[in-house]
Amino acid sequence: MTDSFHIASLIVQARPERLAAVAAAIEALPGDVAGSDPAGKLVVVLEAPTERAVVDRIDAIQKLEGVLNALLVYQHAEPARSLQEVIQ
Amino acid sequence: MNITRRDYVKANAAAAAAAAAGIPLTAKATQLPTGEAAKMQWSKAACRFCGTGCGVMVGVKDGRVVATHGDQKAEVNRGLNCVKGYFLSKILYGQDRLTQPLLRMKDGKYHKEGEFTPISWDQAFDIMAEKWKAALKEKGPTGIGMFGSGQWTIWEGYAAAKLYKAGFRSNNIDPNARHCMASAVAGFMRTFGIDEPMGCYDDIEQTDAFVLWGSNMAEMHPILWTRITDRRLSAPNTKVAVLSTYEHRSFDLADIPMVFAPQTDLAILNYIANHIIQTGRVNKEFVGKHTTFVKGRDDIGYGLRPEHELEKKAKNAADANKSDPISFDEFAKFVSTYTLDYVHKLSGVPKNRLEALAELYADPKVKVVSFWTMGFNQHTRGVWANNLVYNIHLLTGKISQPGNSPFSLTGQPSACGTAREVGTFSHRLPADMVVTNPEHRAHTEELWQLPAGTIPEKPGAWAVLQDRQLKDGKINAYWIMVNNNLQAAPNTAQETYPGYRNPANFIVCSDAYPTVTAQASDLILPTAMWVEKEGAYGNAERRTQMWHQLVDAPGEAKSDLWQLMEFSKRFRIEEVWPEDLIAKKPEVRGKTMYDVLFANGTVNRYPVSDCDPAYANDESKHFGFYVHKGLFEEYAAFGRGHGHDLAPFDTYHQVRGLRWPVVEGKETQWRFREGYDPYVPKGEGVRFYGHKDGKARIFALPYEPAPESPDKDFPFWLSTGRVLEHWHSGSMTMRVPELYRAVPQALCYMHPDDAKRIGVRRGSEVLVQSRRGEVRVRVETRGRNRPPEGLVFVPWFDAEVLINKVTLDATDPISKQADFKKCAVRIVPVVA
Amino acid sequence: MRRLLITALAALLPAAAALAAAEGPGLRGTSFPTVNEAPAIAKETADDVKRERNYPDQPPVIPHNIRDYQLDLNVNKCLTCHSREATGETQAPMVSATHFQDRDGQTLGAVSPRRYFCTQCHVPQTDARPPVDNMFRDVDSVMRQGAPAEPQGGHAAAPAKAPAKGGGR
Repeated sequence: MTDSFHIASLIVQARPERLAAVAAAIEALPGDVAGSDPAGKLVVVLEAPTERAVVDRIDAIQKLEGVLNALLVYQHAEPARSLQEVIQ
Repeated sequence: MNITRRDYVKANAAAAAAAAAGIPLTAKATQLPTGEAAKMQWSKAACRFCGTGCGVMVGVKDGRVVATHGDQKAEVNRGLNCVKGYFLSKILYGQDRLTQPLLRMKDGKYHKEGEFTPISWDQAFDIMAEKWKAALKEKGPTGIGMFGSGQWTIWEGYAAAKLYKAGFRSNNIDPNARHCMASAVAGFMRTFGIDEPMGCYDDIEQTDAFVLWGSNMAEMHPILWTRITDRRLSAPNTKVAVLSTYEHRSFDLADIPMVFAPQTDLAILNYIANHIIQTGRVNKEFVGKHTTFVKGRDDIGYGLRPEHELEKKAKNAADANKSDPISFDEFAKFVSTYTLDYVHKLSGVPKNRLEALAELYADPKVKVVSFWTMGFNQHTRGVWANNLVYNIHLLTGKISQPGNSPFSLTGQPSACGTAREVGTFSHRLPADMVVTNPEHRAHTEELWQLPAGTIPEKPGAWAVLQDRQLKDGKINAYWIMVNNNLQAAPNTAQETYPGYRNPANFIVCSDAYPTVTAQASDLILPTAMWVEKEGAYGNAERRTQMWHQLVDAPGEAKSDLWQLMEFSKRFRIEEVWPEDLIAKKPEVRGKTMYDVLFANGTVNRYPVSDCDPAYANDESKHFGFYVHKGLFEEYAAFGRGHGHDLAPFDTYHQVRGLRWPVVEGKETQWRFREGYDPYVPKGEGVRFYGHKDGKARIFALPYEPAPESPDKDFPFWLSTGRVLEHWHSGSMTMRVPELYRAVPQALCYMHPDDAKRIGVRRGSEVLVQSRRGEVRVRVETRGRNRPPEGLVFVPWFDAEVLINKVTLDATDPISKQADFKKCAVRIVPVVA
Repeated sequence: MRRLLITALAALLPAAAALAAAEGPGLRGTSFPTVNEAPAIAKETADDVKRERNYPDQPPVIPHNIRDYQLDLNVNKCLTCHSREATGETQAPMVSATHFQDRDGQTLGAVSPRRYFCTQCHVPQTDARPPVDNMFRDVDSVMRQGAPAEPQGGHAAAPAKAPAKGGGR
């Protein structure tokens, strides 16, 4: 089992009429929808134990019905242990 | 609030993307709902799936089921569920729930080849009544039929049986339980003269040995399997013997695993009886006091159409259920040919395992429980198999006491409670009575306040015969309720589908989902399911359990009970009864069937105000009285004082079920034994009171081969069955995404060497073909089922792999139950 | 291909309309007489990613492959990672505390024998796409109210790799 952890964010462009369904599907992957725009844009944050899992989930998002594109913006990895540190 | 580095990184990630996209971030609600807002209503219910009868707790919020879990207080399962039970919440919410009646129509009118078109309930009952009246007029009561279910609640089955047998005066009503445990019923009636197990699940914690006869409890009765596993691992001297025609998950716990050649279970059972006798371990006192010996008729045919060669050849097909008294010595001589050598050769089971198995029964110090379900019951000699397993418990006196128990399991959730106890079979009446017995008919007519002669004496058509009569145009108006017979019946392509699509017939299907059966019907009625109505089920250990209506049904969906009772309003009694019958009770003239059957002073005697105000009750509100209580109490009158006593209705809403007979508030765990069963007179110790002489029958019955065995053209045995994740043909479980994704398709399980021989491997597509039909399916050589060479297993839950197009409609001639475990097939690779 | 289209239709229209639209009504496959092609065996999901539960008492599904795992009278392979004492090293989720209780609710020193066969409740998932959505809503969604029932299934929890199964299933 890996002890590092990956966090990524992306912009998902969806057809506006499918926005709610796409958001729900992403939440169920799971993934966090951190923001959205009625024009069809979603801000999505993913967490996974491996880089592979992150990539797989981006693939999955791209294949969701109503998704036009998913663009990776930010990716970060560090040991799972240090991520649990309380900083505030 | 603490913020971790993870939160910090996530916030950064979100901010980066939001900035890039130019949109603001939403603040996710972090406030936990508290107090009233977070409260859910929790109520008890019985699981909707198998005959185990687990208790579940159902969580409701704002009119929706939002959670389910195992009921800690339920004696059966003590908080556990299997994977299906844990997902019960979701079976109500498949997106294609039927919400309005649909009729095949063309140009605004009913048409057999029309397209399904939404109509109102009024229109639905109009066309139904028209078709029923036409069939009754042309052919009389045998021209109509009904195929019901062990998934009916107790009052639904009771109302249906009454509607048909008394209202329409037709015994053409049968439940899908016919496919499931009719052989068990006939076995009980022949050996004991009274239906259902003498023991209970408490036997599991008190026994030394379990023998599974063709039952894969690890998948089919998972919660009982947890209890067996608990016992086996907690008391290491306990032994588990598993017999089957292929290896399956129950073998994972087996101390004595045995794969036998199909049909040879009969010989193994007789070998055990022989072993008990030869080694001098007959419990002579018990056998002398409590049993008599009989020889059953042999060569009884296979329940095929009468013109079939095998039926014409069978000597005793006409009196298959007859038997003649014999002595113990004659019995001993009869089984003496079933030697270890002979049975080893016939069955293929190693000798040391056969001996170890026989010793579990023969050793007087070992307490033993036998379990069986479809392996025995779906068998052209299923009744015999049941009789033969009772033989070995009776010869040793290992019966009706804690830990010693021959135990017949059931598949349907209310196979016992509804199909059997209520008497929804084509030959039965409530409380084990039968239509052929004039006293039984008279007693039933009296309790139903009907004139003598209302109930016809000739048994109606059973499941397989109904299909044949539909095909032959003898039954023309047919109602299928809570079952998926076009997927479940044997030989559907030749014997079931043609009847449904026969232009002379009008087929109605009541279901919650558009099953293959519904799609092949002419009228589909949308049905309220499970906790959308008040219900009661009876499980395999005689436990009656009730639940309240917890949520409303979607759209126009109505319960089976509402449908049955409302339909009965469409007939005046003069339209269904002959003049001479009406003359015996002239006050019924001008009344509807509903008035005579349901508004009869008994069923409608409890006011709506008796309903628990905490719960909705749609039917009672609609009909104006507490329907469920009235039907239950009228029904309970049949069994009280006759060995089938039920507690008062209201009690069942309080307790986690009670095992009948319930006498003076006390349930019965072990029947036929003094100290446990109030029906055994003081001083007798044991009394099998189902038979007038108080004795059980030990049957001399031979091994006889299956009607169809593998040959040059069709070299494989085919066995069908179920899987853990799906039940009831998958109509509900395939609509739960987690269960669907776990097991999305039926596979053809086969031995890797067989696969190699025909040039396929895991994942290859093959045709499974019999003389009757074919399916296309993928090969699995390393899955959970591991068949021996020469046998394949294909489950029947998958509507895309209708394996029952392939099976044979041979039945046990006594029980009329089909054998879904044995027919001959060939496997042909599909060339891409 | 035809089956795919029918399913797509079925997902959009209410049941009644879909039934009427398809010849040999096609919500779950084609009409009875057709011998359907068998789609390839679905692939087991093995991304090690936890799936959200529908309610607290739902047994979590298994997000990894368990093919050829020994789980019998002698060995329980699942416990080699998920037992309490193994989880420090493996970082696998520990079997739930409820699993240490016997039938009478007494807590034992080890996993209760009644919980021994893990696969009676915990099942792996495949990439198969459910043909029919499920409209179940969890309690949070019901409490939030107003939130429309989002179909769950066909395009939710499983990263659907390719519609290899065909929509008709």
